[in-house]
Amino acid sequence: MITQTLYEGSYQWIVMGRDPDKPDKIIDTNQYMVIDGDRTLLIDPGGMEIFSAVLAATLSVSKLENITDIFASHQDPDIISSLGLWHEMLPEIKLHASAIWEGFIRHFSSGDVTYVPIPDKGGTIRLESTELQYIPAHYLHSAANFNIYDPNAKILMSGDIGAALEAPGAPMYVDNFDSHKDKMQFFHKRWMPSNEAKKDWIRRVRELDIDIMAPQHGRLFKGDDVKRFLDWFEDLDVGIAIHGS
Amino acid sequence: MSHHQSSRKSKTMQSSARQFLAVASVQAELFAVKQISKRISLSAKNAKAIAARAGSQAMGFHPITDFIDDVAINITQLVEKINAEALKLSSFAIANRNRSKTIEEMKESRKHMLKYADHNGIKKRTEELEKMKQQFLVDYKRKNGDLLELLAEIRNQLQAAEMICTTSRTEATRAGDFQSNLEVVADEVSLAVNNIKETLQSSKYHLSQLSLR
Repeated sequence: MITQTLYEGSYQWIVMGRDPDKPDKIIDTNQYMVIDGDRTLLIDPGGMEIFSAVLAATLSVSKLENITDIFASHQDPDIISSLGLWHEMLPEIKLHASAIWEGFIRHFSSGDVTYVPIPDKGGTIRLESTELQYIPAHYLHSAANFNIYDPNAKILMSGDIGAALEAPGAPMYVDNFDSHKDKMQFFHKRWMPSNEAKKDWIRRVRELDIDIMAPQHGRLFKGDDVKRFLDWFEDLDVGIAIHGS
Repeated sequence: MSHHQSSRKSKTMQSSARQFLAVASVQAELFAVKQISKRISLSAKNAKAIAARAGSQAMGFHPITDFIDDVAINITQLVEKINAEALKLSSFAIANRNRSKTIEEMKESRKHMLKYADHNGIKKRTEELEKMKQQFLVDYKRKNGDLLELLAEIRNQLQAAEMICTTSRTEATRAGDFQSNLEVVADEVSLAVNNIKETLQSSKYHLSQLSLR
């Protein structure tokens, strides 16, 4: 599994992904980690099948006992079905996820993991030197969904927004936005259910200062490609299955 | 995923699937036992009614029917207890499966870790989990033994019921016109007892499948 540093300051942002040993039939995922002193936050640590690869990658940059928190953007298995394994390994770990998914996500563990519920309006998580924001992204695609925004590093971890279905081994960043649109189109049209939710999210995200937009699948967006994505997404009609197409 | 990794995972799954199947089988069998013991209880009530009609001719039958009823109640209670314990054992098996999987994954992870990665942290936690697993196996074995003891208790109840069937047949010969009615009841109870015995034999086999490897 490849690890790449996204931000290096008094703390670090790291992306882990493009696992060459991943079973073919499961969707490729990006996992993120914020290492801040003795506290490491894992963001969308992924499914059970890739646990050992994510663990190996995590421990190459963080001590085991420093992994204190997990954030799940929503309840899907490719986001958090590894929870039971993380919890067995780190019994004190805290899981931060939407309040309304608590009873559902607990099915992925023995049930007694420390769950820190995030209210619909969002909130913040304080690590050692930095504070990250939970940005509501409800209905994009999950009914209760959050992004993580770091105003200092100017990184928005956008969950499934900006996701692309890519061939294995794709580069980490979008290098040609126009050719990348095809890889995102079906995913967004079919998985995202609400044009209204999309518009509301775009309005709020346009107000944020973003250098990197980091989705959970596919390539990351950097610099002007972030704005290009927002413009493209704004014009896209989503929720297409409603019309049976 | 390497071939080795996938065959290791499938072995874990096969083993846990076998345990879940064994528990489900025991539960299904015990449900059948419960139904049969209800039938025994019904037969006992039927015998009581016949004995009442037979009057003084079937005086010896009254304590027998009470006893058969007691046996049926005891079996039902034991079955409920075994069911509850089997369920606990099943939860234990799930917990063990998760722990074993975590240990396997952690070991797999270590193979891919870079030289400078936190090997000590993961080694320490793996050892702790291995220790917990060992203790768990001891507890699991004990609980499995408790279950087999409960099954043995049911067998004791059945032996008593068999003796009662023999006594019932003797008492039936003194019941005059009601002899054949009471013999039918004794036959019913005897058949039910044999059904339960056969089912328990199968449950004992399934419980032996629960031993963890």
